[in-house]
Amino acid sequence: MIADDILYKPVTELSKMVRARQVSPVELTRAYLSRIEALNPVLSAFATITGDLALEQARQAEREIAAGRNRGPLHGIPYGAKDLVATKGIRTTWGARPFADRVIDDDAAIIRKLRGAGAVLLGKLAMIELAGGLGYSKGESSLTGAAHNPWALDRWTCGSSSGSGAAVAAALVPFAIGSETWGSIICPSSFCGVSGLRPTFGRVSRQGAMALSWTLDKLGPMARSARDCEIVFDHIQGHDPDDPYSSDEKPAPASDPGSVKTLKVAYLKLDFDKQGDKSVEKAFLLALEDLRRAGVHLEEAKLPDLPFEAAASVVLTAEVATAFEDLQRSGGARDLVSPDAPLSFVVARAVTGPDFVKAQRVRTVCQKAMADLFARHDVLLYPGEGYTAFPIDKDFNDIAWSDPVGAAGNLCGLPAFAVPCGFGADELPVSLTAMTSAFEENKGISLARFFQGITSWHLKRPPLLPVGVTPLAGATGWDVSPRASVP
Amino acid sequence: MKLSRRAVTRAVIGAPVMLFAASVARLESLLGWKEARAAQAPAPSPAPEEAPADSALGRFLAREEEELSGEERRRVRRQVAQLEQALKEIRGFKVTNDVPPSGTFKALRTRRPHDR
Repeated sequence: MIADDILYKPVTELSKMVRARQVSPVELTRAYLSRIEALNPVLSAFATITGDLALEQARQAEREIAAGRNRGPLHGIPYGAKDLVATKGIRTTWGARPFADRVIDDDAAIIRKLRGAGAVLLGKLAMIELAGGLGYSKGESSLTGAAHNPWALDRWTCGSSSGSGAAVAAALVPFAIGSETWGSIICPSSFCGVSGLRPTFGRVSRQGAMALSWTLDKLGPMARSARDCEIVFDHIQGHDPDDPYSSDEKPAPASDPGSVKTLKVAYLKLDFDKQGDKSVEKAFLLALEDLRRAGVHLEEAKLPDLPFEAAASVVLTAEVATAFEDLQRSGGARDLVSPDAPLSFVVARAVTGPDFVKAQRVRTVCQKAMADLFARHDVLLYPGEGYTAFPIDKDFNDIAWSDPVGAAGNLCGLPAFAVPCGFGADELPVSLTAMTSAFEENKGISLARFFQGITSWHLKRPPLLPVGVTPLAGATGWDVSPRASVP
Repeated sequence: MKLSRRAVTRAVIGAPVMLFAASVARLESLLGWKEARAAQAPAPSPAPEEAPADSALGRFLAREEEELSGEERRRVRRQVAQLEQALKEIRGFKVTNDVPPSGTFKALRTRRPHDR
């Protein structure tokens, strides 16, 4: 039997336990599947559960490990993938009704890499339809309905990686794959109180992933700790000629939390009088204070005064409209939950060819300005989101919310790392986000790991009713004594 | 800039539409005050008034709106008005001739099976 305590353990510890044969991949997989079975009806975190495949992969991992073959720290570790990456023989819905039964006959590059690392796919994670590409104003805009936030079931998880956020927070998976075009990893990580890495544009191959915006889409890990995200990132990054936008930059070096005191760390002071929740600002400022007390030198920085949001909006609008033009032609857009979806094609026609090219030229200016900013600072800290999780039925049209920092980061392809840094209104999670220069993920991860070394926010668990001890069906032949290793 | 409602959609990766909260004043300049109020308020009427025919928005809507219902017209108008704010910023942003678009066009080499 595996206790819930084990399922909340980070990948680093699970991996040690597997290698020490304190727990077997099959037992672990069965325990997570049991927890999914118990909690997914409440959370709507999974679109498809791949129990048979997971057990098959877990048995293979178990055989290999028993035979002395070690594929690394993800060997035998279960995970979930956002339902926009293709999985051979398993439906890939993109969170949308028109694709509810679609099965793609190939695995996405990221799935192949994780399989090569010995990871075990528990299922496909729920998401906002088409990752929000055609617009939405409610969390329910998904084939599987709204994902519920484990910290408060009447709150939303944020999106579009909704299931990824919920599944990690509720310990339905040790780690998840999410995607971000603009906010879709950072926001669910913030609302759900998990660690999430948005890699540099081009770092992680998107071959086999749904295209929303060819020049903005990124895939990245969400997990229980910064170190876990780094481990997953190490396995999924790298050049792929099958993704035309894939970068051939050499992999990011390993993080070094010990180097943080020598980094030039800056922070952005956002105006919470104009928008946002003061409780978020308070938690963010306390996090900065924690860093100062730990010896990190912080200085205030300002975001360049450039039309980041306007440029990102125009680029995104134009790219999205062409990405889903088949849905427009077929009328499939009218089958989406969001009533605005079919209209978005009409709206997009307001962007002319010259507008799009001009936005791309403005983007060049923005990229240079951000590169200059990061010539002066190694890491830029800001609150991941200005709010805590919204009520699940909230219409976003009623919320004042802009995101110039997220726009700058995504428009310019820069990496960012969100980690929990406390609680705001209604005891809901708040995140500290670290953005760095392109291809310097290691600096953001270093800062995140350092912060998690001096705080314990990432170890907090949502107040879900305990599922209790998860019974294991079937013997594995391994001597399992998980409690013996639990502090 | 005052921030928008629908920006949320955007912020979590979304809508090919507005990112910018059109302030009432800005909406007024685009649509006229009655339509601005209609766009800000919860949608009462299925038949919004026509946008000024000589405005860019008016010309756009005249082309695109024919097959839409009244409620759809209202939503499209609101979204286009907000998108227009972004377009206005982009169109008004000064760049010199030496600033190319981001992203580089590259000639594509043929990849043959034995090259892989």
